[in-house]
Amino acid sequence: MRLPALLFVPAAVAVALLVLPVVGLLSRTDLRRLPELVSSPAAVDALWLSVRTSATATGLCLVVGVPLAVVLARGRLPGLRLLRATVLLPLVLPPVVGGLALLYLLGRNGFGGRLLEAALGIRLPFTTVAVVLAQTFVAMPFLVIGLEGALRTAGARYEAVAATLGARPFVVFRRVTVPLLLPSIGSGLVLTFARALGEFGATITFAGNFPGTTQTLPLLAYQLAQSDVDSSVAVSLLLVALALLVITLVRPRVIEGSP
Amino acid sequence: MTGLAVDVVARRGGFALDVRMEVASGEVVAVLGRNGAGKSTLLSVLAGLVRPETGHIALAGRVLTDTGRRVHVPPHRRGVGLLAQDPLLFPHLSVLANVAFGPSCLGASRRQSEDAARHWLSEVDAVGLAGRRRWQLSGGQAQRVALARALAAEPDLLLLDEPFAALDVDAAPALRAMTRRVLRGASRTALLVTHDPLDALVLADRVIVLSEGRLVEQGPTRSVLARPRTRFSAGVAGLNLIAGTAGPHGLATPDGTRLAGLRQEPVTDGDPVVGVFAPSAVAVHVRRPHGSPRNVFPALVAGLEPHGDVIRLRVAATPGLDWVEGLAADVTPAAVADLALEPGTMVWLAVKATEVAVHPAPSRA
Amino acid sequence: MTRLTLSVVLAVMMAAGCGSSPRQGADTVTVLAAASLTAAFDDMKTQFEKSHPGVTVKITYDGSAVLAQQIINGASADVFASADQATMSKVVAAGLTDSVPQVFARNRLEIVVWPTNPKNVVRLADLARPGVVVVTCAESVPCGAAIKKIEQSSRIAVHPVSQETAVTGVLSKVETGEADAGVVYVTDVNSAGGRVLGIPFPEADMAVNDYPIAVLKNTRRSTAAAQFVDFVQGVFGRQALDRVGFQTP
Repeated sequence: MRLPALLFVPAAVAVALLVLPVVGLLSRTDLRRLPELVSSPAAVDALWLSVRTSATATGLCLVVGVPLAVVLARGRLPGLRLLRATVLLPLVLPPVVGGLALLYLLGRNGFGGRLLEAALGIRLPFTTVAVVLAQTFVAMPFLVIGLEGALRTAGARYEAVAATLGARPFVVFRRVTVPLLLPSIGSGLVLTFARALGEFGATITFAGNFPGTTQTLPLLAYQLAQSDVDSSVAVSLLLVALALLVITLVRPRVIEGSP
Repeated sequence: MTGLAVDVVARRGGFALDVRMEVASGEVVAVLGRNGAGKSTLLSVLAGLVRPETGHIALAGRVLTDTGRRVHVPPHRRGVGLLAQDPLLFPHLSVLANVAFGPSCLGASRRQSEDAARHWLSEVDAVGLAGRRRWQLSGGQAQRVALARALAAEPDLLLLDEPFAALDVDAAPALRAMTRRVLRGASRTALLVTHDPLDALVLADRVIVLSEGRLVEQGPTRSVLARPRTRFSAGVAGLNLIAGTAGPHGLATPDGTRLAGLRQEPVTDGDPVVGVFAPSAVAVHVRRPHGSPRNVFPALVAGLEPHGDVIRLRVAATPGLDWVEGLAADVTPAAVADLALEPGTMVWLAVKATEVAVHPAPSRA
Repeated sequence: MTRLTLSVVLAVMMAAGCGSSPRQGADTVTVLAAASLTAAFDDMKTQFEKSHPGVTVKITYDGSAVLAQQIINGASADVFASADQATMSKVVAAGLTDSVPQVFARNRLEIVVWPTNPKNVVRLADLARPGVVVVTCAESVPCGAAIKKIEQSSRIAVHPVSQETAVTGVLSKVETGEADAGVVYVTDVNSAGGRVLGIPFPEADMAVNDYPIAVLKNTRRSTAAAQFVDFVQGVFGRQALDRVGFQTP
């Protein structure tokens, strides 16, 4: 198919808007100092923490998000529309407000936080777990909304056939729904991981900022921007590189897997 | 009875289905009706995918639905298989795994399931496809695999929802023959939704006709199609049907008349068959014709009615030739005038052997 | 249609662009000031404008480092007031100051706790006590650099659970009760009102923060800018700084 030429003008504008800022970032980088800045212990710690927490958050989204998407798309519960709207909330909420919300729930004086401390002796704020929770909170909608859409588009015909073949609901979910959803799950997970990786506001509000424990790459980049802009740019480039790596390596394989 | 007993009222949007019917064990019933007559709703209700508002469904001695006692057996425990127009083979599984899906859900081990799958694939002549994926199959192949998959789950009732409608004209007859073999061979209880009278003719013992959610006509396939009492079945039954047994030249009617025709599928001599031909293929003569037509038989004109540009002639039997009753022939208005045709006129009907299609018929038809 | 849309978009973008660049009217002094100066400088602006009719003062508050970056990247402004000498030095090093920076205020650290002080924190050493959850500023922020210096000099090791990138982060964590104590500047304690309690500690003398102010090189309003710098260091200015907790030289 030949694309209408008119399409290329706004598309080019979009590319410029997306790519030029990154070019700007690169142009400000002192390439000779880059290796040194990127390999500083603080940067390496933050990178490793970012990878670990984002991966864990993505895993958490997978475990609870896929079932949620199926419930939203296939369930026949009352109040499902309200629930669907609620899932969108983290997308609309400024992340800092999301972090505050988590703090008021799971913080020391929050309802959930008191419960956790009384029952298990656990305190969440300022821990790596808090980072993961903040990332999960903001990233979950990216997985759930994409999957719900895919489920709706696919319809329930394969599931109906599986049921007539004797598969009970959980077997249908495990052997039909999930496998058919794999491409969408893959692309959803990439988005989720990318969002978790870039998460800043909710993390710094709920988890604070401490090297090795809660200081992820975006937090380090922001902190460095206060004093040493070169280092900040270098760390940001590290983040960009990591995101690009994940998106280009994982995404095409998952999406374009088999016809 | 151990077959299927249904008495349900179901609503879907503004549409209501209100059906009471029974299917004997081992019987194949064709469900005919226009789009929107309620055929698919009926199948969904039977499969348990749609809950009826009120009613009762029993299959093979088990109650599947009883709204009065709040019984609703879920789809996976009903023992009702479904073969739809779209084969809906699971794209992430091989053909073998698709067919093994049912047995494994019933608790068979992996090995047992695959053995069962191979057995059912061989039943539909598809063993060679075992390793393929959905996109490596033609439409007909996919539908054969889907049939094997439905049968491998050992359903007490098989629902066939226009299973040949999406197939090429070339693929449909073979699959129809295949379906006939597996249905008739094992005396399966089945419900076949179709638009094509040929499906009903070849596969079904009995026909029911749905219109606006209600059962408007039912009876043995041949009599419903030959003597339609509703406009729908008349529309479907534009064809002439003659039942008999297969013979070397075509078929023999119960009174011994030989009718020459072309076999559409392999049949053994003596098997029940149906000869099918269009009213437009029938020539009408007032004197016995000589020459090529091998099939010539006398009849009495019973009625004349306009049918588009032609006049459709319906005939009554002459003594000793009962099967002629109800046959139709299309003639031009000019011919009606030339031959001075009117009810009671004695005529000779002639059909070329090449116009008579001989199909295997259900044994009890 | 497309051309029309495009020109509308361009027009809007240009208008927005013009609006955001500080336009130096004949009588406007543009000041870039550290965020901690907000209350004092707002006060001074009112008084300065009263005593200098026809002159308008426009102040942008942000972190000193951010402001310094903006100056180095070409933001046009007349006066820069930084929260520390190090940041000012960068602007000086870039050759963008027109006058020698002068220290006009000093800020000391204070321990900050929940108003009822439940953990009974009274001295710096209490912050090293186990069971006391402490947040401080990150070292890259002036208040973090100061506490680091004090830790080294006093040999008291504070183990914060978080190194906040802004003073507001420390305050909010103490206000919400997530942290038992934090370390911020006196002026921050004052601006937080009664929501937190400030506790002075002697070791704070080891790292007093000097606030320098300077007229910038590319100013077109050098007279008014110099007048404002003088005003900040004058009687009115000192009073205003005093009220919010700054020490004045």
